[in-house]
Order: sequence, then structure tokens, then C-alpha cells
Amino acid sequence: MIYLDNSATTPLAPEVIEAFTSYMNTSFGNPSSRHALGLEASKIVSSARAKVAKAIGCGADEVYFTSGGTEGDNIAILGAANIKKGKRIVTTAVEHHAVLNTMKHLESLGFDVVYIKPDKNGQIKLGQIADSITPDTCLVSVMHVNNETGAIFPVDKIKPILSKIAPRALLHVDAVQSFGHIPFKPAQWGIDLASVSSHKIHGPKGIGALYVRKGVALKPTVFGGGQEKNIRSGTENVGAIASFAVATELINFEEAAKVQKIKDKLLNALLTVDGAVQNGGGENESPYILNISFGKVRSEIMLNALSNEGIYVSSGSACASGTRGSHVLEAMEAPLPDSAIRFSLSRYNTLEEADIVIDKLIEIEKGLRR
Amino acid sequence: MKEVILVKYGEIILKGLNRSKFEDLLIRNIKKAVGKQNLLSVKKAQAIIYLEPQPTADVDAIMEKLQKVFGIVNISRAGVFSKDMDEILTKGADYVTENMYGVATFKVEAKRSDKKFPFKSPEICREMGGAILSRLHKIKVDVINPEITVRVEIRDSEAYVYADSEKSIGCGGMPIGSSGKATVLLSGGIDSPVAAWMIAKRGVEIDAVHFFSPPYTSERAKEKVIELARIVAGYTGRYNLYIVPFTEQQLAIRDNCPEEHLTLIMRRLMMMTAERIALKNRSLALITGESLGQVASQTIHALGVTNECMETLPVFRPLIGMDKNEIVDIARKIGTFETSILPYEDCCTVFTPKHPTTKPVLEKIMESQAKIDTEALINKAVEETEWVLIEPQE
Repeated sequence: MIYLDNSATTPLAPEVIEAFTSYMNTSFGNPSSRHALGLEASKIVSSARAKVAKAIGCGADEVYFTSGGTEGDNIAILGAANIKKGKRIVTTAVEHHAVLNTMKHLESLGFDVVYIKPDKNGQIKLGQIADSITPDTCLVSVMHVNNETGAIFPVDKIKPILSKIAPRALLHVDAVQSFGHIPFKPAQWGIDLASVSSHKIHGPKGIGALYVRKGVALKPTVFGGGQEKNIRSGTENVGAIASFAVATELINFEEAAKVQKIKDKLLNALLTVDGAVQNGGGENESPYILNISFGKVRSEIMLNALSNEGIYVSSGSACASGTRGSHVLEAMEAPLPDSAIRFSLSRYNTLEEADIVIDKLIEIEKGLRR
Repeated sequence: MKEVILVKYGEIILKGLNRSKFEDLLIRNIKKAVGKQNLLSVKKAQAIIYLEPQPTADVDAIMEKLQKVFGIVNISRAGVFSKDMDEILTKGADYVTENMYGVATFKVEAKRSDKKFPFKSPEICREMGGAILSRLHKIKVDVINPEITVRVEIRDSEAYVYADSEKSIGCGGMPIGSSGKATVLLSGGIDSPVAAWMIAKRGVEIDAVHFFSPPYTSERAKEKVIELARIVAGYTGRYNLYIVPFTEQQLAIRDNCPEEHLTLIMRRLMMMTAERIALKNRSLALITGESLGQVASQTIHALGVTNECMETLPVFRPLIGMDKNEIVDIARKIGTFETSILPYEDCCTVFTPKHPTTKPVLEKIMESQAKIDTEALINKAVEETEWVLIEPQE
């Protein structure tokens, strides 16, 4: 098996599996219980919070555990949108559906949402964002790395502009595809809210975190027992939280260089296929994501054929399964959206795997082209 | 208190001398669908089948299963009482009113097949109506158009009290196994499961054939067809699904025949392959979901061309005169619609011509088809066919 669908989800790191089993076995207590078992669970959560905070580069009191990227995006956007501060929200046309569909909901409540379009390489320029912000803007939400093309957006430079034009507005960043892969420094960059997810960095599914900068008053949108300082009520998923923390301890930015080599190898070899074009290829791109259209073979057919060979890739983003076409490729006016294949990498992939994939894909493409 | 399920059947009653054969078949199908372990006794008398569930059995679940047994028109869950007017008017009225809260209007119908019972039907109705009115204060009698009809039946050894509900309606038809076997071409779309259901409803046992073209169609598409087949098996009981790999055949057609004839030649090959498989497994007909004029390959001309290749078997097309929305209504009713519309099948468009012929001429199609080795392709498809036993969904 060669797994190149790491933007959909990643395999668990062996260290994470070990932690997960051990916590599930022994520390099943509810952190809110007053007895010793509850106390133990609550200590596990605090220690995990400190580890995740270290990985995000913020204080432990700025980390709120969520069920993952989608919930983080929802809690951040719905909690930050405030029509009294301004009815305008700025975002991009290529966000994850967790953001786009939340925006659609806000539009139905009377907000004006501006969707910035990327250029043909999938890039969004700081100037486009700056031009979209007006004094009645209450929220800007821009992803750090696009999940389909790997394009990196300039989220590090937005806050100073936002502070000048709309001082009371908040900045949210969906960092699900960058966290743990490329440096992401929300505290340093003045970001107010940022969502990250565990299962994209070899941690378990069903857990993630929302960074909320100290001093930001977020309106709660989930109600219950008041856990996570009332921002995300619900009994803490202790085992998953602890395992997520272990996954963050394994983050090593030096591996990005190795991953970049795999991406370059795939890119250079696969672009020799007649009719192939890269979707993306702009200046700032994550080493972990590569998107190529092969022109003569439809995505789903290529995906099936590779899957039959034990090679797992994606034809778009897996989270949008069931829906057709890619809103990202459409927004960047990609010339061949119907034949796009996304290869998304992880620290566990190797150059040898890239060789196998290249050989197999070239062979399959010859057999299937029309 | 004892409860029984009264099963009433329709057309079988008209079967004259063969009637008891049909009844026995229906009883066998009922036992198979419900599970023998759930039934304490099964009796038939006076054109009704009496099922006594095990005390531990889930009676609602049994009723739901009976709603899917062909041949049944009505299913009632009834309380069993001794043939004593006092008991019927107290315990019987308590039993039947338990599920009548919120009902606005009712009437009572009584049937007295034991003519020695000292009360006549109109008297039973009057007394029972009074007993119900005294228990439910907001309910009114409406003999013309009641929301619920309460029935009291005085039979040979016992009295039955029950009310009709939406769970009482059976799906009609004839018991499966009373009319031989046919093989349906199951595609994964909306139409073919409905066609299979309609023919099975007439008592026909079914087998199914599915054509699958990896990598142009995905594993998920195949799983979807198996899922659809299992929903249909809820009505028919277990049956055979033959999955035919068809990529090579489609590629041969694509590479050798004129583009505008691709679909028709493909359909002819599918029909011929299905007929071979059907004959091998003793089917007496093929079933397709074709509906006149729905797509280019289902015009009257195109159907003639596809039909011509059949060697011996008749082709049943139960949807031929139906509109799409009529087919969708049945698909929703039988529970296949939601699965049918899952979007996995679109890869087949690789083999769809941009401008298919709508008025094909048989000679021209035959000429195009001569460019491939039909016999060899069919033999290969039959040879590589995979067998899956389809069991009803739990």
C-alpha cells in the first residue's frame, strides 16, 4: 500500500497508538469528577493542553479542545461574527466547506460575505485581502494552506492591515493543513482565532484545538456543562486529547525538506505525461500537497485504477465526498478540473514510493487515455 | 393477554382448485420472512392465516416483515378474547383503545361467523362503540369516513378485537415461488430495482446480473449495487447476484465500432450475456428497467434493436409505460431510492457517445457489431462472472 491521501487523513503514529491504548485502558475518568480518578483525568488534560500550546506557540490558557477542524471553524466564525461591529466578513472562495457553509449560514442572517478569488496558480495576494477590508468588517477568515492545491496564503501579514482599517474586527485562520507541516505562529502574527486538527498530523480523529488569543471575547455557540471555559461544552475526550498531544510532540519541521524532495520528484516526472498540468505551482506552496490534472483520464477513473494497484490518492478533497467538482479548481479557473489528482504526503512517504507511483501512473495513464 | 396477527390475502382466494397450494406457499414464505423461532403457531382458517407470535417476539418487527411478503393484502394485530360479551366489552375495549388516544373519529364493524353467538352484529357494534366512547372522551363516531375502524370478529373458538393502522397494508401480489424465475439486469440506478420488485410481486423468484467496468466504475459503485440488491431481498428473500466484469467488452466496442452505435451494441452484448447466465441458472425471462423514451437507447426503435438479439427468453419491461416520477414514487415506497441516487456511477460516461442514434436501423447496428468478436467477448464475460449470494438486510 502506498498512501498519498494524507490531506484527507493520516495514519496514526505508532507513539500515538501506544498513548491512545494506554489512556483508554486506565484513565477513563471524567475530568469534572471530584474523586481521584477525575483528578487524574483532569491532570492528563492540563498536561496535554500545555503540549499542544507549545506546538502552537501560545499559552496553555489560549488552547481550547474541539472535535476537530470543522467544529473549530464553526465555533470561531459563529462566535466572532458580530453584526453590531459590522456586517461585512472577508474570506476566500477556496476555503474548506466547514468555513464556506458557515459563511452561507451567516449570509442568511444578514451578513455580507466577500469571497476572494485566487489567481490561476491558486494564490491569493495580500493586496486582494487588504482591498476587501472596510471599516464595517467584523471578521476576516483565511486559511493558511489550501487543502487541494497546497497554496500558502499570507495570513502572517493580515492583522496589521486589519487593525488599521477595522480595529475591532477579528482574524480567524483555518490552519488544519499547515499545522505541524510548516511554521504557523498565530501569537506572533496577531491572529485572534485558529483551528487545527489532530488527524492530519498522525493523531486520532475526533479531536482538534481552537486557538483563542488571550483577551478575545468569543461568544459561545455550544451550550452545556461549561467545559473548555464555556467555549466548547461537553465531557472532554481525554484519551484523544492526550494522544493528540503526543502527535504534536512528534512535529519536526526538518522533515518538510525530505517531503519537498518527494513532491519535486513526483511533479517533475508526472508533468512529462502528455497533457498533464499542475494545478497550483505558485511561489508559496506546501511541500505536502501536489495537484496535477492528467487531461486525458478522468479523476475518478484514475483514482479507481490507482486504488486497484494499492495506491491511494484523492480526486479532490475527501471531506466533500458526494458533492461533485472542486470549488477550488473552479475558482482558480483551472483548465482541466475533471482530471485532477491530488497527491498529499506525510513524513512516512519515501522517494522509493514516489518511483513506484510514477511508473504505475504512467503505465495506467497510457492504458486509459482516450 | 394473547395477541395474534391476522393475515388476509387477496388474489389467491380466486385460485379455485389450486388455492391451497398457493396458501401453503404463502405460509412457507411468511415463516421464512418472519423467522420460525418468532412464531408459536401458524393456522389457516376461513381465508385468514393466524400467526401467534412467541411471547418474547417483537410484534411490530414481525408486522413490518409481513408488509414485505408478496401475496398479503392486510395484516392486523388483534387481541384474542373468549367468546363472552362482558369480556369483549371490558378487556377487549381496553386493549383496542390503548392505541387510539388522539384519534378524532371511529366506527365499529362486527362480524359473526359463529351464528350461535347470542348477539347479532349491529348489537355488538353498538355495545362496543359505547364502551370505546366511555374510555376516550374526545372521540366521535363517524360511520361514513372514520379515521380508524375497530373490528370485532366472533369466530369458531375465539373472539378477535383490533383496529386497522398504516401497518395493516400489505403489498399485494402473489407469493414468491408461484411463478418460476426471472433474471433482472440491475444497474444501480433508480429503475432496475423497481422493475425487479414489480415482477417479483407477481410471484416470480429472481436472480440478478450486474455489469461492472473497473476502473471506469469504482468498488463503491459495486458495493452500492449489492446494497440495492439487499434492499430488494427484503421482499424476495435471498437470491443470486451475478457480477459480470465488462471492461474488456466495452473497450472492444469503443475501439472498433462507430461512436454513435456504442450504447446500443453495448446493451445488446449485455442482454446476450445476461440471457446466457439466465439460461444456465434456469431463469425463464429477463427483466429490465427500460421505460419508453426515457433515454436515447430506450426509444421504440432502440428497444427493437436491443430485443432482436435475444435467443429464446422473453424480456419483461414492467416500467415501459411509466413516467419517471411514477417510478421514483415506487422506488421511495420500497426503499431503494436513497441508495439509487448515490453518485458513483458517472464514470460510465466514458463509453457514452456524444450524439447517440435515436432511430437506429438494425442492419447498420449489426454491421457495426460485426467488427467485434461478439461470441468470444460474451463467453469471456460469462466465464469471469462472480457470484454473490444476496441476503435480506437485517
